[in-house]
Amino acid sequence: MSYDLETAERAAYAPFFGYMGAASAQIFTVLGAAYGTAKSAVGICSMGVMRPELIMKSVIPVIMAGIIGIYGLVVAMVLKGKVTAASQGYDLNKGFAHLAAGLTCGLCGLGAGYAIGIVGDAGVRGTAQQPRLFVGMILILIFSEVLGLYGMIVALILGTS
Amino acid sequence: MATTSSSSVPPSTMATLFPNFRDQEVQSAVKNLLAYSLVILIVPLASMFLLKQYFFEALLGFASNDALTYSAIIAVILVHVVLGIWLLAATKQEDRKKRENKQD
Repeated sequence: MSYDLETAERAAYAPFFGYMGAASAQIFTVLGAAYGTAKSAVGICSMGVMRPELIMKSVIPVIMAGIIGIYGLVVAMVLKGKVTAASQGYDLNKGFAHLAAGLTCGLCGLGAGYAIGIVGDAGVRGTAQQPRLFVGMILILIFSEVLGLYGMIVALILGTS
Repeated sequence: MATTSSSSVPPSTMATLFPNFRDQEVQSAVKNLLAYSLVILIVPLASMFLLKQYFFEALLGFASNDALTYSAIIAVILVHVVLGIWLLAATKQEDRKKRENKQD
């Protein structure tokens, strides 16, 4: 007796993987965003004691970390809209694709959030001493943010194909 | 006389929290920060859900899933536009300050 692949692919638990994808997209990006916010806030608070008028510039790492969280929100919303019950034609292939999409966005966002936190901490402290460092800090922050954007693009492609 | 009597009054809680809150520069920076923070919080979420409901679904007649994907992409683009405006404002503030220092 051969293994019936057609029936096995139409498993009742297929939506589990889709929902796990949506959850992990949000959970891991928020982990990264929270670390980025907290770590750069340490730098902002220690430089804000001396130069409170620079607050507008020094909050930029926090905004960048917040955008990582928005990536996760967007991907989780898109994935959640695609997951249906197994009886409505949601098979294991779709479930795995959505799990892969969620993990891609989530873990890329986690890495980008870590990078933003460390860059923000060092960059904000440095900008307080030498204002010309600001452009460099912004460039490094944009490059770390783009790492999360790559993850979101791949997740949207994986999730909609 | 008036200045000495006002300085003997215990400082308000606002003054103890922000010792230089009355400073013009700090005040404008904090106001700017509040305004931009509100904008960057509201713009992506509002654009995502409003575009989905009123533009893609009602006006263009897309399916719910496609509408969500497209409005999500537009929301992410809009967030970066607001971030760019934020960066412009932050650098412009710096330039203005430099010019004032030169005039002094």
